[in-house]
Amino acid sequence: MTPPQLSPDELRRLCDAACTDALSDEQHQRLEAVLSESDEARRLYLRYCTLEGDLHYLAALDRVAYGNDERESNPLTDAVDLPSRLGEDGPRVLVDVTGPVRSPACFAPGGWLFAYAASAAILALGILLGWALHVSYDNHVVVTKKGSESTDAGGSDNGLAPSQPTSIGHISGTANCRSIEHDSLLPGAAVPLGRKFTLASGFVELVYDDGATVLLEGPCVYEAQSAHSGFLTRGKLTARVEKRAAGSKSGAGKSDAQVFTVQTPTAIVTDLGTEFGVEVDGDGVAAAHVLQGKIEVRRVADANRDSPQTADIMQLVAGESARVVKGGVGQQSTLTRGHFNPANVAVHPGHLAEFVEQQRLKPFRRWQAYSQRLRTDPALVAYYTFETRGRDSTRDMSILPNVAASGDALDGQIVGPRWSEGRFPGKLALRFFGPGYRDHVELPQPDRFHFDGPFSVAVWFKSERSSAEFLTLVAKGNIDWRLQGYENSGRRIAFDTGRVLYADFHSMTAKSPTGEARWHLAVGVFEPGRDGASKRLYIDGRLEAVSQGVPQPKPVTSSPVWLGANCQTANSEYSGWIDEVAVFFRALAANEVLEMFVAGDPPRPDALQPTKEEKR
Amino acid sequence: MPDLHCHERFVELLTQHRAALFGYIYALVRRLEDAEDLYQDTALVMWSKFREYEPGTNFVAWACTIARFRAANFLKRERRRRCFSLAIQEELAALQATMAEDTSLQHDALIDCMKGLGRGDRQLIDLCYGAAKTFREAAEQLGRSPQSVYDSLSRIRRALLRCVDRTIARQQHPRDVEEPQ
Repeated sequence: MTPPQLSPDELRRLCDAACTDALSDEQHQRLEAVLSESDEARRLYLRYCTLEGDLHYLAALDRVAYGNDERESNPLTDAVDLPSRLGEDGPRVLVDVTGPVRSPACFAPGGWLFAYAASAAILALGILLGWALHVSYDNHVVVTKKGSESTDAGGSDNGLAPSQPTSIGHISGTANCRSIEHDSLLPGAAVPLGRKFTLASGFVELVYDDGATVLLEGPCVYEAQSAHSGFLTRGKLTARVEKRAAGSKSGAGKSDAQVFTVQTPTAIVTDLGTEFGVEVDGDGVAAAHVLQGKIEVRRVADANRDSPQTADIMQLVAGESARVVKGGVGQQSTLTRGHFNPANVAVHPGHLAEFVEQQRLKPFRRWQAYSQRLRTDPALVAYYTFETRGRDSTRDMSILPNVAASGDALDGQIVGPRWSEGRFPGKLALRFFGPGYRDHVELPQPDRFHFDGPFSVAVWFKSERSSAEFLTLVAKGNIDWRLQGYENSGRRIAFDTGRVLYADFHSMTAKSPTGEARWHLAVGVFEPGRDGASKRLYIDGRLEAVSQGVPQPKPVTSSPVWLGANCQTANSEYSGWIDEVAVFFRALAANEVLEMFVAGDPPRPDALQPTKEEKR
Repeated sequence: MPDLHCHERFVELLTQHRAALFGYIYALVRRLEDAEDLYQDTALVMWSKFREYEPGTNFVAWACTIARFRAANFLKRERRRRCFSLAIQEELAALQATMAEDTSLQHDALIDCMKGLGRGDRQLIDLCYGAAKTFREAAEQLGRSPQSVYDSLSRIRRALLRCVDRTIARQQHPRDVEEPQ
């Protein structure tokens, strides 16, 4: 409701003044006062501000027909080539905005549409590594063939004119790919001649029509130069070229169509029926290595990309490598031979899909192995893994199975929350819908969760924003123990023990907020000692709070343990997901908590990158 | 599934919720050029953190949270600027996140409503919004008093908001809404 001292008309006048940046100090104070008190006022103010933004947007676009010029264009799909804010030398950016530009002011840097449109694209550039912006990237197409380096600035070796882009292959797979290109990286998409790939991270696998498979690994810059070649400006690739047809010759005698070549600024690598890797670092040092078969590496004597003149030639077989290092001023680059361990390659061309699946399942498999071990812990009171809806024997979806040795006697009873996707593919969670729903899971036999001695409680959760003050993860009423978050303090988790209403109540709160949109592990550990108990609270494996000399609670209540709500407190209903709960009648050590987190932490979006060990 | 097309997905979400995010930013800074800068700044940060965004959760809530922090930094530098308390900024962010769907409907309805503006009002909108003139500059160009332009803009805003409400109501409950006389 609008406060009595401010009429709706006056509120509208304040909103008008705010929209025209014409608020006096007094008006600002009045607006702030009413916004702090009234949801209705906040709603109206936001509507005014959103209208203001929309008016600028629509008027600047001239998208509105005004009765005589209605366009059918879609503001989100028509493309306009906008000047890059990143400088004259930066790459130009293809951005999704509505078609014709009416007012120069709209698209001037700093202008209104520029703000909308450019931000949708330069943000991608912003994350690209600085080197990408300094790469000289002319539209040269160099066709290199064994024995006859030739140059074709724009043409191709299949005789097509440069203005007639032709497909030289297709994208066979991508994984965790971040790219600045506007063009889609959908598997199956054709790769036109001259297509550039500028990857910030991840993998893209290309299959050339002539049989070569090239696996790009970000960050890298690669251009499909011709039907049989590519230019690697920087980064890493692995290529596999199918065996030649019977009767074809190898090496210099091969027909042009059967040769695949990777050019770099300092070297030209030509396959001789093989699988090989090429890498170019920031200093322009090129390295090539052979996984199978044989390749030929030629040092580029003249760095002119249009017309590279090669000097030394070296042939390599499996397990061998070569490096071309730039010389100093007035000095030639050098070509040296070395050794290479094929086991260092994490993923091979043609095996991207298999690699992705392995990487995808790896965290889940890791967690499953850990979970199997955990359930044999003799101190485990109850363990809810959220792997299946109900028990296999009953398929009763209102049952949350307990997989500890205590068995189905401690199965939870689901009252309200819905089964949902868990933190691993194929794993489940329960989604709690927050205030007003009273969603919870009740664990039976409250006396099994009375602890005179040490105990530990662990919960995996992912929160949503809530209007509730307290967010109960797991609680045995208000008297015994509970893990809960505080919405108004960034969802910091607290581990409370003892009688809430009496002197032996003890609360400790984590230092770090848990926020939204990611999974967290909260573990509370209680351990009695000679001089009072000690308590520890871990979030995501880190010790976030510790207390010594805590009074030993005297839990005598029959309050049931609830997940997602507190049976004794209103306004404590959890909003979000819970997907694993474990209760022990012993104190978990710090290393055990860390192991629990490492084993159960779900994959991040970039988790498909090979680990250091895999790259080793 | 791996994150195959994060860029496309991000741009799709950003454009879908552009109005809500910009409206929130404008509510904090109340000056077009500042809002534009902050919008870009926020979008860049959102992209850099996009891997932290959980698909299926409220994108506007996530975006507004980032915008709020960016705006806080901006307003800290602009000490002379009046700004709302952090509590209000948070309340506005939370509310805008819940209104995101409405915002999208309002945007579509606004396009229709703007077609119904009179010639003079269209000219004023074009001048003040399309050409980004202040109401004082517009008044000078139109040979009118600043107060009359200010009043006209206020009237147009109210009329558009009423029209938007009616349009949405008519779409949702076509039999319950009478056409205004």
